[in-house]
Amino acid sequence: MKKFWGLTLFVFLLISFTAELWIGARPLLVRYQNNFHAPIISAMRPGSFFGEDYAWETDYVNLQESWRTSGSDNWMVMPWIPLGPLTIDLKQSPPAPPDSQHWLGTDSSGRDVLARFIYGFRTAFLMSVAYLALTVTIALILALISALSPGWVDLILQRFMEIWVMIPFLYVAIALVSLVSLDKVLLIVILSFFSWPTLSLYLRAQILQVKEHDYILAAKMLGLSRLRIVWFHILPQVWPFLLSFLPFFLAGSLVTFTSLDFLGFGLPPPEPSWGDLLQQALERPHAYWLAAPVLVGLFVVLTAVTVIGEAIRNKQNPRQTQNYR
Amino acid sequence: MVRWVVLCPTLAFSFAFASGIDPLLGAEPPASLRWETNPSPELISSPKAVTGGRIITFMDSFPLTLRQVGPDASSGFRKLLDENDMSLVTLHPNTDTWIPMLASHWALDSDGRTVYYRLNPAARWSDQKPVKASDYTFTLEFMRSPHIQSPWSNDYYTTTIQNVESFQEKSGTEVIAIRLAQPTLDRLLMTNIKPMPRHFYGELDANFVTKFNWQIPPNVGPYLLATLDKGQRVTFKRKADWWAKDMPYFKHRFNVDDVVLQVVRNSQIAFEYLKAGDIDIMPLNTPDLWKTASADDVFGKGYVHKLQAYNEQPRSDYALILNSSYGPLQDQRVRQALAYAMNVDRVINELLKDGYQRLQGISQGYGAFTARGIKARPFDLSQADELFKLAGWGTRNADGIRIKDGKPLTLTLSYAYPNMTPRFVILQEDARKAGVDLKLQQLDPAMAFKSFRDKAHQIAFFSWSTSYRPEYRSRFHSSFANKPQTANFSNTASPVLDQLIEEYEHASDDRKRINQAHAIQNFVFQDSSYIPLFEVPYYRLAYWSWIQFPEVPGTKSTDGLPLFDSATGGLFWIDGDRQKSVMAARKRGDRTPARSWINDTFRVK
Repeated sequence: MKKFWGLTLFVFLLISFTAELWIGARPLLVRYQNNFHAPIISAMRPGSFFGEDYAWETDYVNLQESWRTSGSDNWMVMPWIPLGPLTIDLKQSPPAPPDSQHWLGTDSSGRDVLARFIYGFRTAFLMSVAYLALTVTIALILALISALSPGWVDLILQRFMEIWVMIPFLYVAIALVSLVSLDKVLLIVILSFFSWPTLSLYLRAQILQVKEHDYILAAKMLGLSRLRIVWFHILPQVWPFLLSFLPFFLAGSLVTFTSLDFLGFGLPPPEPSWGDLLQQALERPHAYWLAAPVLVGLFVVLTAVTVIGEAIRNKQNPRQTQNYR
Repeated sequence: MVRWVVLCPTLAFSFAFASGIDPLLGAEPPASLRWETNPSPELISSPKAVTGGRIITFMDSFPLTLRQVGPDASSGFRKLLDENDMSLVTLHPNTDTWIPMLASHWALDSDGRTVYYRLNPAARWSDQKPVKASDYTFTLEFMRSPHIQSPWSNDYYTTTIQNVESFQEKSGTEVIAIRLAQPTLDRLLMTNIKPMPRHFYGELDANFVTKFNWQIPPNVGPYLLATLDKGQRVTFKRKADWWAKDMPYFKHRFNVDDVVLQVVRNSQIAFEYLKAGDIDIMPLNTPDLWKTASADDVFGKGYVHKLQAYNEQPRSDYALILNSSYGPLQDQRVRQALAYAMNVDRVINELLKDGYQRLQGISQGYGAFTARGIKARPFDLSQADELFKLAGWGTRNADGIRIKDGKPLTLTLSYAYPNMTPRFVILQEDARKAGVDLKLQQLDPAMAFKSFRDKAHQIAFFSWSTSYRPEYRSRFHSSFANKPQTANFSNTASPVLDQLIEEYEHASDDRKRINQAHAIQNFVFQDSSYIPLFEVPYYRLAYWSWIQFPEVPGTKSTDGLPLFDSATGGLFWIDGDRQKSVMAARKRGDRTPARSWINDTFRVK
């Protein structure tokens, strides 16, 4: 069970993190006038770069076609499916059902659903990890300050956190994002800003418990510096606790990002996202191909993350690993 | 009060002078007036109509207030309240002739700026109090009050409408004279004010805005707002003993007893409600819905019918409005270049494909007032490039976006309706070719409107409601630019345009006026703070088939489903028998005749 879901998640991640290789609008390799280029990793190449008469991003599919028909020496290797998450194809009236070209159909702007599904997952996953890292950092630093400082600092910080934790963060986030125009970094910062206190309260409790142990007292008596005590003696006791927390937190944040996008307050268009696909599906209930991949995707990822999280938690469970005699 | 006026005549006079109200009630109107009326206007209703029943339709957000003026008042919901406030006369939508409403007769004064109205003594407020001449003088007092916090109303009722006087004929009938500050050709149109219930509002004070947020004022129209389920729905009830129900033009109209408006956030969800039978009728505004509808069972089995009716009426200025006070948009060349960078034709031809047309400019569909020579700027990258270069945006960064002084050309387009996203995504993609990074920001409708009125946007997508003649002052006059809570979304401020607007409003004959309208449209085209998008020459409805319409379902200027409007509203009725049979058929899954009704009576050939 654990292995199955672990493998599934791994495959999911592998597919999405190597997406450019097999589904994307930029070629892997271009040979143009005896030089090799790799647009997949280089900066945006305008059409003029390849001798076309326009200054915006090269239309590689058409360029490839024209090189082929003119029998030119130039060639390029396109990904298996030459469609990016932003490639608009209006040959069929959007949203178009799945066919041989668009395996999961197109969305309401004629973009490939499969591409948007894959790239959307990657974005959400990366943002979740970044969000997680930022939130944990803030929570941990404030928990340490709170737990290890004199009583009055702790008192003030605790009251502050108690107030902060009561703010309904999704609503505040929605209110804030309608005031500013968003990008990924700002969205992560706003969300972290409102979601650290819960974690911080748990961590503080954990640190308070750890710092009363005899070996900490011993370390203090040996004259070790505060930083050293924190780093080598307290934090190692906090990691297992944190580690068992993380998978669930990750699952939660994936859902948060999807919800925000769904509500239209997440990443602005045209960023691909699962929430955007769900939103479109809501508006066009007949277009099953918009919602189906996301629902399956959410089911798989959340189940996998939860199963893995359970496994980690069991591994860290003090009742199974510690032995008080 | 009367005694007080008699005792302090000087004071009363000076007060009246200051507020523009003439206290001489009782004086007779000039004998030289030539009274006009229209006893038998062409009917737009059907004699088959019967009264009774209920329809449920929807609105996309709950109103922020019930006030019809002041902060947050200009929402879609306010239109419903306004429709139930009748005015003195109304224009026949098909024949363009005036029809008596609250005034039984009218007469034009020889001074070119005054209109006399003989008030219909039968007119009653919904609380059964008679509508008096003093209610019209109160309108002026009300609209001029600083407490209503409505700069536009303050301005209009001071600089346009100068005075309201009341008279009494020998028979006892009241007459009012409304005088404009300047002679105009649209005297009836501009003096056609509505009465305000003085007995309800009393003396206005600084608390007006909060005090009247949720109070239902008495009205004179066919329906009264009856229940208010905050955030959920509102119900309008037909007045059984409505004072005007026997007036010729209102025969067989306003038939349904209850009109319920349910809050449903967007039309796609509303469409699901419709199919489930939870709402009875709705406009099908997007091609998407019309297409989907053909495939659905409730339509196939004939329970729900579709109507597409052409109209010939002023078109909304459905446009991207550029805030000309914002950074790069201050430069007219950038605004023009941006217009060349919007691939609207691709949206129409490849995405919408459904009889949509490119809107060529502002003020379309106003007959001679529309400057036909103006054509919207097409998608033309070389023109865009040239203009951007002239404005100093010649170089592009590594992402292909234009830069000037190290800053990229990034502009945010704010809009309220998610169904616009697919269209804007296409504009966004093609704008990138012109080196413009167009960001899209979707806002809640109420939030969007507030933000546009506060000029917090860079580019706003908005469509203005229309009027009989093009109206320019509120949207283009410099006195409303760069001020919060006004309608000049583009922050257009030009003395030249101000002058044109003055001349347009005060032209002495139609030829001159039309010339000025054309000049204004030309100016706006050159100024390029409006990028016109689409127009739709028809409206579409989907309705459960027991809702019945006259043979010509609407009028020349009907658009969607006018519920209460004096000129065009309330033509439909409910066929109770059919309702029962359709319900029964639906229960059994039987077929009834399907109908996709296309009416082109008013199609512009």
